Formats: sequence, structure tokens, C-alpha cells
Amino acid sequence: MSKIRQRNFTFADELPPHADGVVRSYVVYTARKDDAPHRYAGYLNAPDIALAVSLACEHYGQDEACTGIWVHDVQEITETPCAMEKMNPQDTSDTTDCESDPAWVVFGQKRRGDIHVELASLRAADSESALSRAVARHGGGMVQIRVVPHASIHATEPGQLIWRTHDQTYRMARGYSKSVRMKWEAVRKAEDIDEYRKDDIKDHF
Amino acid sequence: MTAMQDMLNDPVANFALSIADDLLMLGHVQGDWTGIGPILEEDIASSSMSQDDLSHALMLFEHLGNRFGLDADVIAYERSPEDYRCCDLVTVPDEFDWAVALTRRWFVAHWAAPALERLGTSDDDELNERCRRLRSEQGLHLSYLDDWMRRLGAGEGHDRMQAAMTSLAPQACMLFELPTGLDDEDHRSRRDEIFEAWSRATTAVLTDAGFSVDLTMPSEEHIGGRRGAHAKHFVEQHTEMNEVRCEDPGASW
Repeated sequence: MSKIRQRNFTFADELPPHADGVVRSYVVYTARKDDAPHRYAGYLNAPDIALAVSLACEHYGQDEACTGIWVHDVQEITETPCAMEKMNPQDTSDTTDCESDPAWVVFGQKRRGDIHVELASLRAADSESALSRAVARHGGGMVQIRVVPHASIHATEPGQLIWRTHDQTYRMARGYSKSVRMKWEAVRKAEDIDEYRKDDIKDHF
Repeated sequence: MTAMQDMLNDPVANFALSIADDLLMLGHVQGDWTGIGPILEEDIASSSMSQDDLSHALMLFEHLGNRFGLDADVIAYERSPEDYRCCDLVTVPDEFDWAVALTRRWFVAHWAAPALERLGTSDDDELNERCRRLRSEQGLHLSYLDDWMRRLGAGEGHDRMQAAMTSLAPQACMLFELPTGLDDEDHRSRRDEIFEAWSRATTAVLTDAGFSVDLTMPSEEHIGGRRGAHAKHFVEQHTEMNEVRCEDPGASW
């Protein structure tokens, strides 16, 4: 029997992933289709952003069919506090984007607890003006608006293979629950279960 | 002659089995790391790749099953150890040293990619299409593993990785032992081409990462797993993998 099954193993020393040993947190978004908006998928830790993209492909990229992944450092987020009510911005003083300003990607959250979804992009000189401009333009009906510098987002290559082409429904949580339910129902139908339970109840209650 | 023997006597089938058995055993062995990977993200990625490896083995077993009238599970589980064509590199015990586990997978992925390309030039379009898909997915593993190699080469894990490379290199070269039934000039020259591609690709990454490893083609006299002479660790892993199957052959899940 292998050591893992005997629960009899010790690790060799930790293998440091990076020269400075620093692991940072990254936010991951996935797109289900080529032109679909990127939707928040989760967080992960990685030694650098390039490896974060690779790890995101293996992790969040395999949760469901996926054609593109965005990753950025969690520190790059500027966002409004999460409101109790949907926002209704009245500010009409919004100015035109200046082409020489850096680009920002705007994400919005429709209800508290919902995931953040890519809404648009805009240009602004700094994070503060990017956020106020994003709220004015896209905040209606949202409870939270987030902006992230476009330059800080690392993406998979267009057309890059992420989602595997072989059948991997068995890896899906929903596939599991369906097959478990079918098995459970098959077991439940068997009469001997009822007989067993009768005895069980007689003995124990 | 049985269908199983027909398959084991067929040269293309033996080549396909050498790849499929490598991926089957690698997926099984690397699965030991599920739940105990060095960091959570790596645990998930490694487990995902192990599942890929098992699925890729299955796709080749299914092809062989269709061709020889056998069930894929029967091919995967019901051969005797000497009829497995895998290289014993895949079952080398890692003693829970991540450096060994990662290096083992890296060597195998670099072999599987060009080997699948070669297998995908057969006369059988259906097999070629399977190989094309598997090759692209093994390519994902390759770029991922190469990324890690370069980073670990630059970090303080360098010496641990170098030690793993040095200890695994002789067994990694046995990936190029010609499987039973492929002992002719044509297959030898094809094997040499794959070795060429493998050593070029691995050496490029090793140089980037600052590792130094001697990779040479094993001599013909050195008989290993691809010709059925498996190490003890293969037989142990094989017994364990087949344990449930042997309890109740043909059970459905």
C-alpha cells in the first residue's frame, strides 16, 4: 500500500516558489465566449502574475467552458463601498475621455453578493477620477462599481486553448451531484433498505 | 489468438500503449498529491493535470478498444505487469518531495507531446484526430511546467531541483526505449527524431533555468519498462491501482 494510503508520510522541506518567497493575491475573471464580458471567478495566490494566469487556467478555467481569462493583482482595485440600495447617479458633469489618459476597465455588481461583471472601459488620469466617471456612466442599477487599470490586467492569448476538449463532465460539481442523486435514488428504491431501517428503528428507539 | 494478444503484437498499438500507459500511471501516481500540494493553487493545477493525463490515456485506450474489440477498462486494468509499455520513470517514488514529482511530470510531458505528434501521423484518421487533440492539451501542461522550471531554477529551490534532475535523468532517458514489437530501422529512426525534439526542448528550458543535466540515449542492451521489465515500484503501483478492479471485475459505477 502506498504511503499516502497508509497516511504515513513526511514532506521534504518546503520548496520556495520564488527567489524572494513573496506570494501575492490575484483576482481572476473568466469569459465564457469570445465576445462575452469577463465575470469574476475567484481569487488565487501566486508568486507572480504570469504564473497566476497559468494557475487560473488550470483552476477557474476548468470550472466551466471558458475562452478567456483576466488576472490582476488584488491591490489594483479601486471601488465604491457596496451600497444597500442600487445606485442612481445624477452627476451630469462627466467630461469626455482624454485619449492620452490611461485606460481603466469598469466592473459592476448588480446585487449584494453577486459577482462583478465587466461593463465597459474608459480613460481617466487617476483612479479617483476613473471611479467617479465609471459611477456616473455605469453606476445606474449597480450596488458597487470597481475600476482596474487596463495595463495591470494580464490576459490569456486570444484563441488560446483553456477549456479541455475531452469530456470532463465528471469533474463538474453538478455532474457529481446528478450521478450521486441517481445512485441514491436507486439505493433508496431497494426494499431491503426499508427492511433494514425497520430493524434499525426497532433496535435503537 | 485473443484480441488482447493481437493488440500486444501490433507495432502501432505498442507505440500508442507506451504513451497511454505513461499517462495512466503518471496520472495515478501524481494523484497522491491531491490535497497535499505545496500551495493550494498548485494542488488544484496538479490534480487537474492528473485528471487530464488519465483522460488522455483513456482516449488512447478507447481507440485501441474500438480497433481490437476490447473494453477500454480491460486494456487499462486487466493486463499483467509485463504487458504494460510504460517507462518506469512514471512510477519512481517521489517520497513526497515536490521537486521530484514536478521534474518527473516535466520529463514525461516533454516526451508525450512529440510522441503524440508522431503517433498522429498514422494511417488511421480517427487516431490522428485523437492525437491532435491530446497533443494540444499536453501542450498546456508543457508551458505550465516550463514556467515552473524557469522560476524554480532562479530561486532558492535551485539545488533541490538540480538534485531531482540528476537523479531522474537516467530513468528519463529510458522514455526512449523502443517498446516490444518496434525493433526495426523505421521505428528506430522515428524514435531518434522524438529524442532529438525532446532533448532540444528540455535543454532549452534547462539552460534558461540554469540546470545542467546529461541526457543520452540509453543503450539497446538496457532493457526496461517499455519491453516489460518493470521495476518493483511499478508492480506495487500497478497492484494498488488495480485493487478495486480485481475485487469486482466488470462492476459498473
